Amino acid sequence: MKLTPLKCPHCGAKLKIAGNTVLAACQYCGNAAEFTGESAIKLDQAIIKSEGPPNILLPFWRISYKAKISSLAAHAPQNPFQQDGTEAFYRRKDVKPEDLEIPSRMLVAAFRVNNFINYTADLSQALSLKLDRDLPEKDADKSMDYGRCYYGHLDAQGMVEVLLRVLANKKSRDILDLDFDIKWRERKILWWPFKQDGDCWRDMIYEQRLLQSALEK
Amino acid sequence: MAKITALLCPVCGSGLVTESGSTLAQCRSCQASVALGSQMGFYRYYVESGIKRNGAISLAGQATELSFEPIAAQLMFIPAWHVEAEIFGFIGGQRPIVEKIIKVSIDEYHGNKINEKEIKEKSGGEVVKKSLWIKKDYRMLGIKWNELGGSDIKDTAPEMELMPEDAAELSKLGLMLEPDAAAEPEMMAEATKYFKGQLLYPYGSYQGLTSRISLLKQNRRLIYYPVWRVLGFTKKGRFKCLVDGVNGTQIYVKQYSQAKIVPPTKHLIATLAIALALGMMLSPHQVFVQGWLSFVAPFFLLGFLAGGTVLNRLILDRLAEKAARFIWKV
Repeated sequence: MKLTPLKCPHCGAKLKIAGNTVLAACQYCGNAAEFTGESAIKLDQAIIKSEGPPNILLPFWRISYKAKISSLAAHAPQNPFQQDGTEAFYRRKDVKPEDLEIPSRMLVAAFRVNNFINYTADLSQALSLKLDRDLPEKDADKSMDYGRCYYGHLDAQGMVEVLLRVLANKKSRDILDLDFDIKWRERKILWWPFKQDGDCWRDMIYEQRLLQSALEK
Repeated sequence: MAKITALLCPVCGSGLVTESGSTLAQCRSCQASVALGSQMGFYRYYVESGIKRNGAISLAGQATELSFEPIAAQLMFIPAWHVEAEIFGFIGGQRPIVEKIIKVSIDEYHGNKINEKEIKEKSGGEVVKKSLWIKKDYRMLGIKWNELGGSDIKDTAPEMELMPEDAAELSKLGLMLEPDAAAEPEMMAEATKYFKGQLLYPYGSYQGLTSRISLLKQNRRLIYYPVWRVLGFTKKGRFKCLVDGVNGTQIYVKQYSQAKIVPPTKHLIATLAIALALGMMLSPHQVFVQGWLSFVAPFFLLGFLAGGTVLNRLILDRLAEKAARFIWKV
């Protein structure tokens, strides 16, 4: 078995990463690194500035990409009360809906929650659709709660591939069968500010909510 | 709980500590984190054998009620694949349209006659577009070996304490059986198919079904599981037993029948004796012409046959058994 001592990709010092986490900060230079399973690689990160101090900062991957739709088929669902059989089911293939706008970057939750669909998929979608401008950021430091980071950038890319399909289908009445050719660009961990709101955490930028119990292990 | 491994820190040479199934180990002295290498994306682990050699022989002996004479006990490490993943996917499709005929009774005021009217009712047809998430794992034995068919190694292995595998150390403990090279891509294809099937199973009848899945937090493992192979003899003949190296259950028991040597002349002599006896009964004059020898000949042949059988039991079968023992020991 090949054993590789982990080194900080910024300063080359020994890096200590606790088991089952994907991110860690160098104890010497303070820069963060991502553990990919074989080695530690550089990581860009920032804190999103908010009005007032946040109660909690949760990590999100901001993934930029260029997505090209290389093939497309649209299936128009039949009306169950007027038609029978499947003859009217398929609409002509290669019909590209005009209103299909694919966002060029997405926010994907990097933390672990109890309900993936509600708080990783849906919350990520909601924040991504609102992310129309660059938000003011400030530098993150080594005191961040890296133990919360559960999904690495490869997982985040996998999520983006599925979420793009979800978003495209939400915009159309038809059932879209899309094939995205994605070229990945910049990726960054954004520490997103949340404040307490009863038994929820409320996002301090777009007011999205997250049950506090969703973060319990 | 963290456990000390047989691996040494590449920085300072001290022992490494790791948690079960982790891809990282920590050095006890210099506090460095060490990444455990993977091969083709698979991390390799082994399960320690809790059963010692004498224990395995004793357990194998319990499988037979006869006196058991062991001749060999070997520890083998059986490879088992384990792929763990979160499956996140999107499905879109139309619920199948089902047409039902419902009989509705109609009361007629004129007279008490009751009629029934058939109404066709359609249901379904709704468009479903949703995202789904499940967490599953796929388990498969790394080798195709009939004798392990009834074992639950593939299910048990991932639940055990998993130590990072070091080929040099492990081969000192026992025989490492490598998975079939062709099995790896086959296994990955099967695993992906299985994961997709698990997610899409409830939607199989949907029309125009489209889907896209991603596997998140994939953890691909190859786990070497200990099994003792015990060979020996009972008075019935050779005996083979596979004993689970962790919990000591008997995975496979085979009692072979005793080795025998059957001379090819046996049937020939029996046929000749029967032919002569028949000849004597059917046409005794022709046989008596040949003299008293013809009358005695069948009895002589039968005696020879019985003598041969006794000879077989006493000498040849014993020789065969000794030869079989010699071959097994080698």
